[in-house]
Formats: sequence, C-alpha cells, structure tokens
Amino acid sequence: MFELIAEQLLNGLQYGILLFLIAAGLTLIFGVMDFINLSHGSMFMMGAYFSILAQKLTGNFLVAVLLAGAGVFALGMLIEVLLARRLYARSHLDQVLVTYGLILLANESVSTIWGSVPLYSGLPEILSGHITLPLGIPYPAYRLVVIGAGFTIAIALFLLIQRTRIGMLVRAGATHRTMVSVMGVNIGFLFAAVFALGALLAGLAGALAGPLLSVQPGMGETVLILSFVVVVIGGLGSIKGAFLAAIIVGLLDTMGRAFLRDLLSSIFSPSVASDTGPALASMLVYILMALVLFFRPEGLIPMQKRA
Amino acid sequence: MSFIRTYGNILTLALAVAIGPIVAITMNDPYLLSTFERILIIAVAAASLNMILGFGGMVSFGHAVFLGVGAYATGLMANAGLTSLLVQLPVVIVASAFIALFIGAIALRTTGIYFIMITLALAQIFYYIAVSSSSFGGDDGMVIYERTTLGGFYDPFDNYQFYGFVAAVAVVLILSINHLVGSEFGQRLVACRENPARAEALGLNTFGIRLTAFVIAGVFCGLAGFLLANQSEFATPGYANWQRSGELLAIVILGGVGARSGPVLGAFVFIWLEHALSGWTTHWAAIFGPLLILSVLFFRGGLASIGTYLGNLRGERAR
Repeated sequence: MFELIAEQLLNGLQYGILLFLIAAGLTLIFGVMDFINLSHGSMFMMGAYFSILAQKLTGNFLVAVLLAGAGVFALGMLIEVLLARRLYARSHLDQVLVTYGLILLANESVSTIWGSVPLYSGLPEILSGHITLPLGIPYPAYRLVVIGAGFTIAIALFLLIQRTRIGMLVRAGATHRTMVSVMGVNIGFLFAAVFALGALLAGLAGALAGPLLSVQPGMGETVLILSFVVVVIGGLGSIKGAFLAAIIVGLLDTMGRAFLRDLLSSIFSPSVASDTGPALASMLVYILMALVLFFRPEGLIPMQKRA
Repeated sequence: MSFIRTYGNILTLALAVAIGPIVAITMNDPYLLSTFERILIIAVAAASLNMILGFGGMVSFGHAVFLGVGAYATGLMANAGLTSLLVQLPVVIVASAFIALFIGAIALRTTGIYFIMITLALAQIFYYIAVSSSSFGGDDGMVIYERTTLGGFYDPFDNYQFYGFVAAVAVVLILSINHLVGSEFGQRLVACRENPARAEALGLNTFGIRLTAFVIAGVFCGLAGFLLANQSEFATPGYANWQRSGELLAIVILGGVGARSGPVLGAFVFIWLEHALSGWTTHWAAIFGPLLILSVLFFRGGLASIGTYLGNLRGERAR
C-alpha cells in the first residue's frame, strides 16, 4: 500500500510538472501581453507530433525533444507575427475566437498529415526500465527524467525572468509597455520572443509527454483546460502561483483517479462507488477551483496590480 | 432602410422558418428539414448567449453546458415514459435554472478573463458527469426513443409536423429573448455592462441583474437542448463540450454581437457551412477555422451589420 501511494504521489508530481510547463507559458503570455491564447494546447500537441517526426528522422530521443522545442518555438513566433500582434489591442473575446479558430486548424492539419489514429512515441532503451528509489520504491525511469527535466526548466525559467536583463525587460513590459519602448527596447520583438517562449514551454511539455500519452489530434484540449484551471487557481500572470497550483492540481487529479473509487466503496456500495468515483475524480480539480475562487477570486498568489 | 432596422429581426426569423419547408418541398427531400431544424435550435442557443454576451457583456465560454442539461433531462424523461410537453418543459426549465444559478453565482464574483475561464471550467464539471456516468450512457451518449408529445395534437414522427413543432417553439423562444432584451430589464442589463459603478450608484443591484440574466439565458439554452434532444433523438456529452461553447460564441460573433437578428443569421451561415463543407470534405474545420480567424480580423460587426452597412452606403450616395 505504501509503495502504491508513493508511486501515485510521484505520478502526481510528474503530471503537475508537465501542467506547470504548459501553464507557465499560458500565464507568461497573459501576464506580459494581456493575451488569452486558447491555441496554447495546440502547441503542446505540435510538440508531441514534432518529436515523433524528429525521432523518425534522427533516431535520438533527446535530439528529437530539442528539435520539437525549436519547431514549436518557430511556430509560436510565426503565429505572433501573423496573428497575435494584430489582436493585443482587441478585446479578450476576439483573442479567444481567433485562437479557437487556430485550434480547429491545428487539429485538422495534424489529422490530415498524421491521420487521426493515436500514435505512440517510442522510448530509448535506457529510459524504459525501472529504478529503485530509496525505501525500496520501484519507479519508471522515464517518469523520473520528466520530473527532473521539468524542475530544471522551471528553475531556468525563474532565473530567466527574475535574474536576467531579458527577464527584467519582460517584467517591465508587462506593466509599463510604453516606457520600455521609449527606452529604446524593440518591444515588438520582445513580445514575439515571449510568445514563442511560451509556445516552446508547451511544446517541450508535449514532447516529454509523448511517451506517456497517446499522441492524437485534440490531445491539447484536455491539458489546455486543466492548465487554465492551474492558471486561475494560481492567480493570472503569476508564475509562482502557476507552479504551486500545478503541483496541487497534478497531485489532486492523480490521487483522486487512483484512490477515490476505493475510498468511496468503503462507505457506499461498490456499484455506487464505481459509478460516482471516476466522475468525482475528474471533477475534483474543478471543485477545487470553484472553492479557491469563492474565497480568493484573484487566485492563490495574484500578480501585482498593474499601475 | 429604416424598415429593415425596425423589422429586420422578425423578417430574418420569418425567412429562416419558411426556407426549410420550401427547400424540402422543391428538392422533394424531407430529410433536408433536419438541417433547418438544427439551424433554428442553434439559433435559440445563440440568441440566449447573445443576451448575456451582447447586452450583458458576459463572455460565457461554458454556455453549451445548458444544451447538455436540457438534452439529458429530456432524454431521461422520454425514456422513462414521460413524453408530454407539459411535463418535460417545467423539468428542463428547473434543471437548467438550477445549474445556471450554481455556475452564475460563482462565476459572477469575477469579471473579464476570469469569467471566461471559470464558466469554461465549471461547464467541464457537467461534461465529466455525463462522460463518466454509466447510467447516462457515458461516452457513447443516450439514445432517446420517444419524441415529445402534445396530447396527440401533432405527430412527432411526421417530418413536416415535427418541423412545425420545432419552428414554433424556436420562434416563441427567440421572440421572448428579443422582447426581454428590449425591455426595461434589458436596459438595466446594458447599464450594468456600460458602467457598473454608476449603475450601482443609481440603485441597481448589478450582481442580481447579471445573475438573473445568466439564469434566464441558461434556461433558454436548456430549452434549446430540449429541442436538440428531440431532433437528434440522442443526448451525448458532446453537446456540453467546451468546443460547442466555442461554436456558440463563434456563431454569435459571426452574426453580430448585440444584434437581434445576429444569432439567426450566424446559426444559418454556420450550420449551412458545416453541412455544405462536411459533404465536400471531412476536414471541414480546416476551412472553418481560417474563415473564423479572417472574419474576426477583418469583418467586425458580423452579418447583421450588412444591412446597416448597405444603409450607410446609400446614405452617402444620396448626399
């Protein structure tokens, strides 16, 4: 039982880390440019497909993940230049609709090119085994790699935003757009770079999640909605909040799916438990969101108010 | 052109209702009626969304959940043998009002982008209930064996009579929404959108007005779900899916936000496009997606603004 709980906790952590990568990009784009990007989930999907493609071409998993990230970065740049920058001054509704149109386009393009049958991304030999953790817990090596890679990217992102000149400009651009451009910064390019960075994060998450999920058209939508939940719980525009919320959501969702049914069947009859258990498990995070918003409408760690 | 401005929405509605039987009779294909039934049903749903979006400024990204609620409530009753309109209508109204109250009470504590995301996420809760509950048919949905009856007044399985039933209900619903929007309540709703602080200072309870509008819109969309269940003889989680909500938003925008004839025009173009394109290619969304993007970028004001547009052109020429 202990092993099972420990394993599910790690699964939750790994899921949370993936959610963070996606939510970080979403909230970064929102926080800096006040742009609501529904097609962010499509970047996740493209990352997964690009990595499958790159694996076929190069035969190396790590290279494929990096190539997928680069591909999605370029795609993000393209979308910013062609579409997003025309919409910064428009209402959120217009942004929602255009990016919704992009989702339709992305899903159809993917199913036209790769077909609508789920694909499975392969794993290199070394990563496909189990590793015995301290306390004798066996755990899939690849999931540990995802956790490690996720934390590394998260720390790199924190450092980039908090410690570098680029990060300083991004933070300044979020609140004082005009002032930053008056100081001689090419704000157009900065915004494009932030947009593409957000896409890159989602794309990397997709490439990393490839071997864990079935890669299929529309796979971005589930994570998109969940990363919205993460962003809203954490506080819009707040990277720290997104991190906290992503871990909570990842753990809650995984633990709910793993144990809620058994928990319920110790109280109710098995038929009731097997009917309500899965439903309740998929609702848990939304219930959490409703509760958080009821008490803190701005989320757990709200972004500092715009001047 | 002032004639079109005054009676445009009634004219549009009358045309939308009449065109179905005309096409079906001239093509001698009663099955075509089902497409036009769907247009009218989706027009009701879009009109209810337009009420809170166009007049209340509330961008709900979970509106389709009420389609699902209405459809499942209808389906459960129909399969339990309760087919009378007089039984089904009150139940659908109460069920969708209850859920709209729940969603609205939470979502309306926030505004703007939070509101968009919260309505989206709360609607997902109900989507997951439908997907994972085996008594509702789960992922596969629920086949509905009986259509709504009205004491033998009409034959629900006769194509033309059923079209008449759907059209009559849809027209009543759309006209009610239009009436509501033009009423004093509608003006209060607009006041809450335009300047909440001033509306509050004038003694209006902005939260109460918004919540009332949200619940009314939910009920009307629930009734659209009732029609949809009857029309398709099927209830599926897909009705309540967030993509459906996106479609409804797209239809409202396409038709023209805040224009009374907008939802009907939008539903007409959208469903017809879907029908025509899906007959031509299974990848119709690959065409619709870019069309949507282009229409948002370059075609602001939507289809309903064409009339005004033409009016303005004429006016300029006369000068």
